[in-house]
Amino acid sequence: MEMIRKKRSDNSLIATYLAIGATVVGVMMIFGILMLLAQGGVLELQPAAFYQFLTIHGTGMIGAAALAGAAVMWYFLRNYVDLSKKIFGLNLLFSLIGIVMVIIGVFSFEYASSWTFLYPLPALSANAWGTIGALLYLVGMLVLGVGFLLMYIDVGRAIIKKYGSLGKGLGWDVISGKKAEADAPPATVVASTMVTIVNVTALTAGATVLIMNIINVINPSFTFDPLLAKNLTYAFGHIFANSIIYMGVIAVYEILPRYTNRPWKANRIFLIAWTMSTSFTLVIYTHHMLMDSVMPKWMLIMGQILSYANGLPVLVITAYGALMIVYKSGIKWDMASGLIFISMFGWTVGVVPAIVDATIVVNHVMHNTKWVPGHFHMYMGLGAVVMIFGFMYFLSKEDSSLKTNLFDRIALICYTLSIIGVSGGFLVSGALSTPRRWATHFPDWMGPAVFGAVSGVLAAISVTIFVIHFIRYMMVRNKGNEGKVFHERKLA
Amino acid sequence: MRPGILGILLYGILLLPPIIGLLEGQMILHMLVQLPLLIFSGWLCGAAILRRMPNYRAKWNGNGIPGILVIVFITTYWMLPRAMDESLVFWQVELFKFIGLPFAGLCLRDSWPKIKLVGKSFLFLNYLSMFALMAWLYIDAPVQICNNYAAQEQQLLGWGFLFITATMIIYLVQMVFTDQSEST
Amino acid sequence: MKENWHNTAATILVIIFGVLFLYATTDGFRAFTEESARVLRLYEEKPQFPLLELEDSKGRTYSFSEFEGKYVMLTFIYTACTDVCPKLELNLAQVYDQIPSKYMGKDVVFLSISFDPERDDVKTLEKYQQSFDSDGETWRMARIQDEQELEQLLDQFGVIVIPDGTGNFSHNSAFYLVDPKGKLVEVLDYKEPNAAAALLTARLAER
Repeated sequence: MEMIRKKRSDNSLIATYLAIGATVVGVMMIFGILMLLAQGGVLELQPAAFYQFLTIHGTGMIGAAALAGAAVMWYFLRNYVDLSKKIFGLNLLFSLIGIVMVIIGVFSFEYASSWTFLYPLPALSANAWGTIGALLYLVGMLVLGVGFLLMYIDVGRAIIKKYGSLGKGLGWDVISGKKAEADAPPATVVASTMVTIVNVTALTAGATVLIMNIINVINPSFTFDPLLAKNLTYAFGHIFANSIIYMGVIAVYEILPRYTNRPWKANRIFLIAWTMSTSFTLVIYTHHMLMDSVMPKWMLIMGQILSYANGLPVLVITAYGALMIVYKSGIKWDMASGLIFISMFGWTVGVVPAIVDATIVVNHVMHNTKWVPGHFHMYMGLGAVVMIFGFMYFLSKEDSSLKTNLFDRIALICYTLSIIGVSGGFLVSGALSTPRRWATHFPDWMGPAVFGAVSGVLAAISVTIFVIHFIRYMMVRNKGNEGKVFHERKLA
Repeated sequence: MRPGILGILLYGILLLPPIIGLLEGQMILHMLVQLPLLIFSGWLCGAAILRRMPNYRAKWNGNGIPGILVIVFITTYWMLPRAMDESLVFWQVELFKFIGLPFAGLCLRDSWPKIKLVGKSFLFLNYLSMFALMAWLYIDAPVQICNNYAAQEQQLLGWGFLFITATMIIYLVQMVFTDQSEST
Repeated sequence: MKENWHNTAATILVIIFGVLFLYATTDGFRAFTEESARVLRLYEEKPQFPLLELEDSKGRTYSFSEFEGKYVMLTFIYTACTDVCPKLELNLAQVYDQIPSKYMGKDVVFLSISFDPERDDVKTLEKYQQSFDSDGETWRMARIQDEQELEQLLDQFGVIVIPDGTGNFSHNSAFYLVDPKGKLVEVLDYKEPNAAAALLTARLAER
């Protein structure tokens, strides 16, 4: 009883994470719509404002999704290892401080280097923004990183304490045959270990490159090698963004078994797939540099080959596993299970344009077009973020008596179609060779942008409905059903 | 008492003018030998000194965080290129070096066992990324960063930092991938 | 919680003192290197250029008072230098080209001073002067023969020269602007010749 009550009180922190994350996603969608409208020629927007929107949209989306993804991971991982709630709360605090600094930097000081803050742009903006804006943004990102780093250190510490080492967290002793498959670490632990390894690496690289940029902003006579800076920036940015889906997928591993009453077994192939994706994720960021002819060729070829292979092991094993677990299980479809299933579809489909883009020959032509946003809007919008929305419905169902209604179901369909519309618009633009990150478009490029904007409006409305449902859940659980303890029910 | 005597001995040797001249003559010896050895001498003397003030320590440095922050500020100061230059020019800065760094070592002795594993790991990773940055700065900078040291010397120092960073990474990797279950 | 009181107080005190300490030692987070600190100090001190004796590339010797009533744009070099000095002088040439000719020689003189008087004799300086297309009149190259005087000047202007033992020197570089009264008034980044030219022109126009 004590345990369950403690868990329930922890849930309020988790719910806060998710509410903030989902709300920010919704607000960032509005900036996305405004940008598309401007590109479509419908809205009059100063280019400077466009780039401020671009910066806040990218930073906000990644930050919010990572925050919500962390909540998914934490919710399930605490069942297996002993996590510190204090540090989890600290991460939220640091993230909020960081977000506020970023917002002030972007909107009050017109900082607009896009979320990749590629050196030496923060310092060299042709007076579009000043030192203060750049410092607010860079330090804000650093503060955000501090929170996440603390959280991953705690996750890593807890996993090592329980399983002995991060290698064992990935199930290496099962892969090598020292331990039976039956004793393999649970899927949640495997995924959390992977995310800990890649994100501690990413955040350490990120701290180096952020402080480097800060030094350069304060003292422009200290210059750095821009190629190394780009490497570190993408080692940070790519890995951190990529890790969101690996946190989100924990929702798949945990929710589907509860709905079908079949366990998700971490077998040897599953473990090998996760180990492969761990190491690939660390090195494939080089596919962001396929156009930098000065990069060592072998790194680029490695980037290409491993990009194909990067997500695939985990994706295949998870998609197959998800199909198998659902197949003839008599699963009851509701908002949570429906969203989770759609996320698997989105992830799978979203990988295809990524593979096309990671091919060097294609990349030279496509990487600076809207093809790439097409890829990641599908992958993130229809994959990672949907896992998070699915989890939000799961949590509200498990933790309260709140029922879903017709609006939620309409929103689900609406959201799916609209994100397909948004990404489709981007992909078509890419195929038309529309450059990405351009504030204004030629008339021939405007059609798909307007289409994307309209789809975006639908997506934003759907997310609003998701968020309203979730806020209602938070209000219901705050409203004195404290005494009533929900049992760990099976939902099948 | 033995480590205490060793610490005083080390401190005494570091104070000898020819040793000061030798270590401060080379940038890499200055940054990566003299400064760490001063911290180490303080750490060695630490046990003997701290034993005499248990109440005071428990009261003001109970969770180790104030002590760790002292170390963070002092080492941050010494990572500024300016600090090294000024210690050669101004006697006040040199004096601060010979008092502040052993004091940081003392704080390290007192605080390190008290802070939690998460705090330790966080500090370790932060120094890791800072040292990587120092390596990058000193190897790559097109300008002379310290007025009293030539550009080649600063590159050598950069490679020294890179070596330390690499060692820290190897240590970290073997730490998290070998079995720790017996020790915890 | 009660016992923690001292500990929390100590934490906050350390943070406050630490930040104040770093603030003070970096001149308010402005100068992280000795070079930038030196420039800040020069702006505060505004040292007077000593009336020492110069020997220029035309073999003339005169005191610095020769330039009284004119701005002097200064650099410190040695001609055997292969890395930073050529760049420094090329950029100085860029500044020189941007200054309206009506001021040249009348209101402003350019002067490159060698801190290697042993090797940079009149002939070497003349060769160096020609390679930068300077006329030797409105842009002069000169050495200071008296070692003590040279030391004193370098010290006052914060120029640090370290011989590396193979005949080369490591040294810091900048454009120095001395006003008509012989006071140092600006230390400018030599990598920004356009900014330096704009500033100098503005000062000249004010007169």
